[in-house]
Formats: sequence, C-alpha cells, structure tokens
Amino acid sequence: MAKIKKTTNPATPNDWLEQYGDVLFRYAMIRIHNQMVAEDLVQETLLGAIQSQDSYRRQSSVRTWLIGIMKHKIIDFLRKTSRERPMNDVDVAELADANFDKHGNWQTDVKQWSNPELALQESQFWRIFYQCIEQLPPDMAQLFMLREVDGLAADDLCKTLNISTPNNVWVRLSRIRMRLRLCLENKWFAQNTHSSS
Amino acid sequence: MLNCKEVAYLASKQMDTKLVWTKRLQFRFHLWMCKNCAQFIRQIDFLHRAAGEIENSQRLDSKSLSLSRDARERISKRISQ
Repeated sequence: MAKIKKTTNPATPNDWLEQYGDVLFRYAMIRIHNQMVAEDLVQETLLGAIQSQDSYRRQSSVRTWLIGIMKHKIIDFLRKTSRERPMNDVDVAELADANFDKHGNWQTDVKQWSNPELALQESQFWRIFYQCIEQLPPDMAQLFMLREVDGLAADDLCKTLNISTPNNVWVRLSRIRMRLRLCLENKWFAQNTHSSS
Repeated sequence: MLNCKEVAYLASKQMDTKLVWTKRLQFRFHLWMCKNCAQFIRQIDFLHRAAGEIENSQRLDSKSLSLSRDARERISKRISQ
C-alpha cells in the first residue's frame, strides 16, 4: 500500500498539502510577501485543485500543476485588491533616468555580464535578484512579475493592476527593467567580474 | 535619430508589444551602431529568463521558510471538508 502511494501521484488533497504545502507557501511569499495572504493562497490553491482535478495532465508534475493553479489565484487576489490609486512611479522614473545623461546617452558603458547562465544556479544570485525586486514600489514589483512570470498582455495588466492605458504599462515596464538591470549590475555582476574568465 | 534613452525604451516595449515598422527600422539602425544598447537588450532578456526560472529556483525548496503548524492544520481541516 505504502509503496503504491509513493510511485503514483498523490490523490488526496491532504497528500498535496503534505508534499507541496511548503513549496506553494514559498512561492506565494515570493510573489506576495505577506504570510497570512500566502497561507490563504495555499488553501485556495488546494481547494481549486480539488475542483479541477480533471484538468491535471500526466505530462506535468503535480508540483507544476499546483503552482499553475496558484498563479491564477494570485492574479485573482491582485485584481480584487488593486484599487484606483495614484501609482508612485516618481522614484522609478528617477532611477531609470539615472542610466542616462541629459542628452539621452548612457552615463557609463553597458558592460557585458559575465556568465549570466551560471548566476541562475547560485543561491546568492537569487537572494540579490529578489532583493532588487523587493526594492521596487510594490505595484511595480507586481507588474514585473505578472508580465515576466505569468506573461500577461497589456490589456490584462491594465485590468489586474488598475492601470489606465497600455501605454502606461509599457512605460512602467521599461523603467522597471532599467532599474532592475542597474540593481543587478551593481549588486551582482560588478562584484563578480573576477570570478570568471 | 533616436538616442539611447529612446532606444532603451523601445527595447523594452518590443518585449511587450509589436513596434510600428518605422520605429522598428530606426531601432534596428541604432542597434547596428550602438554596442551599449545591444548589450542592454541582452541584459533585459536575461531579466526575463531569470523571472521565468523562479518556480524552479532553489528558494522553493529551501527549508528556511515553511508553513506554520497552525496554518497547516487549518488548511488541512478546510480541505478535508
């Protein structure tokens, strides 16, 4: 009996909780940074999984399937909690502009990053990556993740985060990317130029 | 002629939507001559790739953060109903 349980996909919701509860919780914390909300999201994800068990495809792992459900729950959550509010993108504009001089040229040469692929394997790199994202204003961090992780298009981004026009989405995303690139450059790649050849 | 700041904006924008062909042409022309902007594109592509790796990152398996026992019990009760 126990043997069968290990080799087949866990069938009961409590098995999912046991095996993937922490993974789901950590994923929710990366995306939302709030313990109570993250716990709720784990619960909603498992309840969602119970309802859509038929949608499970054997090609994907249970873990991937559950994270996929959680992503939808995160989008629902953001949609419900994002209200009309002036987005504070002044800071981000300033920091993005710090890349350029007054003629619109790069302040300093954009150097080649050494071994970016290797960085993805290093836990220290990930610590810095999340640090850089967390330093963004919260709405900006969510915008980046919804675009780059979930692949939402401009219309959906407007709806989910209450942004007035697609153009505002593109402007904000460009500022976010400029700021993140500068952050990774300063905190990781400029520090690690010696370790590679 | 586009300056680097404008090109950096377009580089980001083209990851999210299609540029009109006149802009695309100006953009390519600038890139052909400008190493800095070409490098910048590689870097924001990398941001995209890194973001896509989040669900495979080690942080999801690190034991440093876990559901509390309370939360686990609460959720267990709720999903057993």
